[in-house]
Amino acid sequence: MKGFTSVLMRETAQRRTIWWAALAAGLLPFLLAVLPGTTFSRAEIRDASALGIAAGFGLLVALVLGASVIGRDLSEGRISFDFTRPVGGLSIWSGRMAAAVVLALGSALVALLPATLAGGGPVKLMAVSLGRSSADGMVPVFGVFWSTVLYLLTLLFLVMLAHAGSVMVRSHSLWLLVDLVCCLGFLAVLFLTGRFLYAQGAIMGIVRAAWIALGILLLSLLAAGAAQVCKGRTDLKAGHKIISITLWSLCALGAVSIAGYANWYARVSPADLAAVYLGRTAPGGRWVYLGGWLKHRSDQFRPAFLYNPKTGKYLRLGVRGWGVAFSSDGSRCVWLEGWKKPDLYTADLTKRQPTAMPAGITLPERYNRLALSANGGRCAIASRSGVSLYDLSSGKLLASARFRDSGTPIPGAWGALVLARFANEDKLVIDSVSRDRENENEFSLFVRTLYVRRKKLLVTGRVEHLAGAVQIIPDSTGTRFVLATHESGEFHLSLRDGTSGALLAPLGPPGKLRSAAFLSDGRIAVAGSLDGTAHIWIFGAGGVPETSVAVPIKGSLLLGSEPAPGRLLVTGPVGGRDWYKHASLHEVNLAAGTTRQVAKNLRPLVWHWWFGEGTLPTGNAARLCLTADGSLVDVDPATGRETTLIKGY
Amino acid sequence: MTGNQTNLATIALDDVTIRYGATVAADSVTLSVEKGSVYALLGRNGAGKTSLIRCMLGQRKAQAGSIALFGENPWKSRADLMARVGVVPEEPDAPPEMTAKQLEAFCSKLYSTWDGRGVRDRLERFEVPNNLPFRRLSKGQKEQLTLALALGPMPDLLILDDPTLGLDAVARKAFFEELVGELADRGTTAFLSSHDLAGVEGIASHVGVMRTGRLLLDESMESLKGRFRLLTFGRDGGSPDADRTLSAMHPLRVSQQPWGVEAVVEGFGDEAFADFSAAPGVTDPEASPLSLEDVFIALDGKEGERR
Repeated sequence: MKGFTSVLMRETAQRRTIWWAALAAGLLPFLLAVLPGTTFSRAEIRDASALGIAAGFGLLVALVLGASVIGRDLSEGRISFDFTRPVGGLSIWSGRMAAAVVLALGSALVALLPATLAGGGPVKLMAVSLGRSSADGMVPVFGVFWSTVLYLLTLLFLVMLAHAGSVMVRSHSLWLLVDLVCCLGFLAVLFLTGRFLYAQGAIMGIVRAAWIALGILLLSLLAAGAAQVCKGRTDLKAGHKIISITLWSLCALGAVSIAGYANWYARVSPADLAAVYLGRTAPGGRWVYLGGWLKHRSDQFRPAFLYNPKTGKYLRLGVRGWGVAFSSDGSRCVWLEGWKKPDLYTADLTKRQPTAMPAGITLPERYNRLALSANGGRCAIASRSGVSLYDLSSGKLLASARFRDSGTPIPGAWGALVLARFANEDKLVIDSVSRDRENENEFSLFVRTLYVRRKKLLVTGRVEHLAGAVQIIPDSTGTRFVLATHESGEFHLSLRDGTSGALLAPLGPPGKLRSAAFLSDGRIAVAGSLDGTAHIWIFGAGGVPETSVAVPIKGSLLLGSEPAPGRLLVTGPVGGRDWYKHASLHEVNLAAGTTRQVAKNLRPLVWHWWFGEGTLPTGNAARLCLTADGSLVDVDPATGRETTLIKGY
Repeated sequence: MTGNQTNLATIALDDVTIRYGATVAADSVTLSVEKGSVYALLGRNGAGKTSLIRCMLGQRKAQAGSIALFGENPWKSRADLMARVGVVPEEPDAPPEMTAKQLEAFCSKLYSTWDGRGVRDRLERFEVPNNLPFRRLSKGQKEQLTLALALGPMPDLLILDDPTLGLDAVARKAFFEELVGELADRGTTAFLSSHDLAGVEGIASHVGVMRTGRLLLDESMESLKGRFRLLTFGRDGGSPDADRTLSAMHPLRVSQQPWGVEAVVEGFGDEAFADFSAAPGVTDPEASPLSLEDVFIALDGKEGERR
C-alpha cells in the first residue's frame, strides 16, 4: 500500500500542469456564452458547454495519460527507476494507473469549477437533463450518482485501453499483428453475437451483451496491464507479449462467454416462460400458440411458440411470430415474422415435430391479417388496403384485389380492423371496419367477397352508422358472424349473415355483457352479468334465445373453452386491476343448467374479453389454464386436478 | 562453484543464459560475489553486461540458470531485495519532472533505513540543485543524484551499470571518490560494470571479463594482476628452451620489436620467469606489471583471434 500511495502521489504531483490546463479549459464556456447567434440564455450555454468541455477534457486526459503514464516510461527506459525500489509490480502499475484516473477525473472537475462558481449550474443541468431523458424514455437513466460512476468507469476503461494500445504500438513487435487479428476476431464475435440476438428479436439482449462485453474488456485490460507490468517489468517487448497473451486469452474466454450468454438468452423454450400472457388454440386443440414474459430476460423479449401440451413439443416462431392463423382442420398454421415487410411462414401441424417453413412470400405492409382455408392449402392475407390469396404449396398468387370505397382506414396497428375468413376454397369473405368520411365518429363495416375462380372482389354487404369500438366474431364456417359494438360501457351484439352482413337476429340479453363466442354445435354463448351476478345466455344457431345460466360469481365473467360439448369453462369475477389473479374457474353444464367451481385462482388460457377467436377452444387445449403466477396448467374439469406444464414465477 | 559457496555469496550466478530471440546476451555465465567485495564486470558494448545486471535486479528473467541475491531469487523477491540494494543505472532514469528534493522525499518513504541527512549532504557536496527538475540537470549531476539516491537506504549491495558513461574526467573522478568513500566506510558489497577501467582498477577486488555473452575471466584483482606481465627481452639465435619456457607462461601476444621481443603473458610466475631468463638465447629479460586496461585489451585481442 505504501508503494501504491507513493507512486500515485508522485505521478499526480509530477503532472500538476494538467490542473492549470483544466482550469483554462473551464474558462472556455464563458467565451462561448458571449458568442452571438444563439437562442439559449448565456447561463444555459455556459453550463451546457462547461459540462461538455469538462467531460471531454477528462476523457482526453485519460487517453493521453493512459498512453504515456507507463508506455512512455517503458519505451524511454525510465520505468526501471521504480523497479529498482522496494515497490511491488502491482503497486507500480496500480499507482500509475490510479494517478491517470485521478488526474482525468480531477481535471474534469477542475474544468467544471469556473462555471459552477459563477452560477452553480452544470451539475444541476446534468441532473435536469437526466431527468428529462427519464421523462422522454429516450436514454437509460442512471441519475447523477450513477452517471458519475459510469463516467469514472469510462475514464478507467480509456486509461487501460490507451495503456495497452500504447505498449503494443511502442514495442514495434510482430505481436502487433497478433493483436490486430485477435482484435478483429473479438469484434467479429461481438458483431455476430449482436446480429444473432437481433435476428432473434432480443434487442435488450444486445444491450446486455454489450455491457457484458465492455465489462469483460475492462477486466481483461486491467488484468493484461497488471500482468504486463508485473511480469514484463522493464522489458517492453516482453511486456507486449504478456499484455497480448493475457488480453486476448481473457477476451477469447469473454467472447465464448458472451456467445454462450447470447445463446442462453435467445434460444428459449416454453419452459423459459415466466408467465404466459397470450394463447390461442388450433381447432381440435392439439397445438396452442403461446407467448409471454421470459425468466431472467428483458420484458421486451417475448418470443412466441407453437406448443403441444400433450407431448411438450414446441416450435419457436422466429423473432416474435405474430398474426398466427390455423386452418379449420387444425393441420396447418401460418404466421408472420419481421415487422416492416414481414415474411410468411408455415408449419405442418400433423407432424410430431413441426418445423418452420418459409412460404417464400414477403408482405409489402406491416399490418396484415391471415386466414387459412379449411385444409390449409390456401392462405389469405388481408391488409387495410387489399387482399391477396396464395397457394401455399406452390407459393403462387391466386388472386389479389385492392379495396375501393372503403372510407378512411383507422390508423394504428390493429385499428384498421380487417378479418378474412374462408367460406370455402373459392370464396373468401373479408370484413373491414373504416371510419366514415362524412362523420368521423361513425364507422362502417364492409363485407367483401372474393370469388377466387372468377377473380372478382365485390362488396357484398355493408353495415353503417356503427359507433364506438367494433368487433367481429366469426363462426367456423364463415356463414355467420356476431357484430359487437362497445360504447360508453354499453355492449351491443347482433348476429349477421356472413356474406351480406344482413341482420339475422339481435343478441340482446339484458345485463352488462362481456364476451361472446360460438359453441362447437353452432350455438352462440354470451357472457355478462345481471343484477350483480354472472350469467351465460345461450342463443340458437339462428339467434333465438334458448336458455340462460346464472353462475355463482359476483359481477361478470368471461367465456373460456368448451372441453366437452355443452360444457363450458368460464372465469370470473372480471374487473379491477389484476382481476385474473383472483379469478376462479367454473364449469357450466348447459344441458342441466348447473355450474360448479373447478378451481380457485385459475383462468382458462384463452379467455374472451368481449372478443375472441370466434369459436371456443375444444379438445386438449380447452383444459389449459393459467395460474395467478402465469404457470400453464392442464386441468381436469371433472376433478379439478392440475398438472403443471410450464412453471411460471 | 559449490552449493555452499552459492549460499554464502551476496551475488551468485549459476549457468545463467539470457536470450533476446535468437541473440544470446549471456551464455552460461557462472560467477559469485562475496560479501564486502567489489566486483567489476568488464566487456565491450554488447558483451551482455547490462542484460546480466537486469536479471540480477529482477527486471527480466533469465532463460536458463539461477540467480541469487543474498540467497534469494531476484525475479521472485525483487521488491523485498531492492530494500537492500542500491542501483545506479547506465542511463539516469528518475522521473523527469521531479526535483532532487522531491525524489529524495519519494524514496525516503520507501525505505526503513533511509539516510536522509547523508543524501542531502552528498547532494550539497556534489552541488546538485534541489529545486531543478531532473530533466534539467547535467549528465554529471544526474549521475551524482542517482548515486546519492542509491546510497540513501544504506544498501548492503550496490549495483552500478556503467555509471560513469558519458561523464567528463572530473565528474568521473568525483563519482569514484564518493564510491570509494562509501565502500570504505560501510563495507558495502559492490557490483559494477564499466568501460572506465582506470577508475575501476582502483576499487575493484574482483574482475570479470565478458565478451559476446561469455565470461572469459573471473578472478580476484590481485591474482589477475599477479599473473599478467609484459615481458621484454632480446633473442640471440633460436633456442627451443627459450620457446618452451615462454610457452610455459602462456603468452597472449608476442611481437617482434626493433630492439627485441615484447610478449604479454597470462601465466607469469617467479619460477617460470627464472627458467625463461636462464634459457639459452634470452638476453636482458624484464617483466613489468600490466594495467587493467592492458590486460583487458590483451584478453580481448586473444579472444578475437580465437574467433
